[in-house]
Amino acid sequence: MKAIVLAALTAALSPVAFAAKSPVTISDARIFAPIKGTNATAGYGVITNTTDKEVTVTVERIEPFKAVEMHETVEKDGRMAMQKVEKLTIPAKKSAELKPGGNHIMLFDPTREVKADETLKVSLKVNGKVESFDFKVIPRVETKKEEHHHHH
Amino acid sequence: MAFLLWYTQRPPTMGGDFKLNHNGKTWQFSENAKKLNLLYVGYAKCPDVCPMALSYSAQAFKQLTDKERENVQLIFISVDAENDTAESVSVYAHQFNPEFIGLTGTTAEIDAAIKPFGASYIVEKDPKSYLGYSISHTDRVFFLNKKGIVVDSIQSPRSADEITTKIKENL
Repeated sequence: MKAIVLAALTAALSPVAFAAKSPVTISDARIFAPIKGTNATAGYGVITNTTDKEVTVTVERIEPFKAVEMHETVEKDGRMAMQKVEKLTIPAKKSAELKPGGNHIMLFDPTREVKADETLKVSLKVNGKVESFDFKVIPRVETKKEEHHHHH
Repeated sequence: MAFLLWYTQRPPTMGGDFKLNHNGKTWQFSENAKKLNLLYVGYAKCPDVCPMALSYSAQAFKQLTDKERENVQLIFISVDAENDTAESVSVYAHQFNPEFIGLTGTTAEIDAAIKPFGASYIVEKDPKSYLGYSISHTDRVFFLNKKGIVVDSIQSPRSADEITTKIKENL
């Protein structure tokens, strides 16, 4: 009986135990809450390749946005321009930073209101395999909480 | 001779008065100028450099004293005549700070308004992108005096503190 239980447990746990670990980790993953007057916003973060082989990363889908793309901000003839980035290639043990003025994820036309402090599931294709990562929604403008002064 | 030397070596003067559309009404700089006026040229659908410049500026405004804030404003000119309306640009700018003024106009009006500041833009078709276009544009915060003359500027602003320092220096 014990052997059967153990076998059943092993079978039940095996998909977890032997699931391939993602080749990348993401830190500081954030998306700016969309604001009125525009249908576009941006996402940033640091993608680290933890393996000893090069990885490729593309952005697939972010609910509830109709479209997502990876872009790069570049300076052209004294002006800031954007160009689409088809995929990020990250060398072994290196990181790629998505940051203002550099590579970034563009998100268009949310189908519902997206508010600060939400967590969105971001589908990235890592080496051809779709994986889900959590990105935090943060406000466009920092709203510092008013300090409360107690007068006695 | 001294005058000639001064005349030939004086720094170039950029800027001047301009008018555009604010929320459906004509907005003339000379009628609305404050002691110090920040000017940024971009477009509302710009996801990266424009909102960063505006949010850094909004943070900078928060770091000013009430007295300083009374004497300064930010003007955001959208060069996206085809896709941004005067109303949407006004709403857009307002969300960064209630004192930010969003302006736009026809292509001719926009071109006339930004040319004196040496600012420029190019609308580029981008069929591979969802938007179908992107606009490359000057990424600079101009600091204008009451007459609209550029007294200072920051290329590609990357921090609120940098903007705060410039505001305080020029007030």
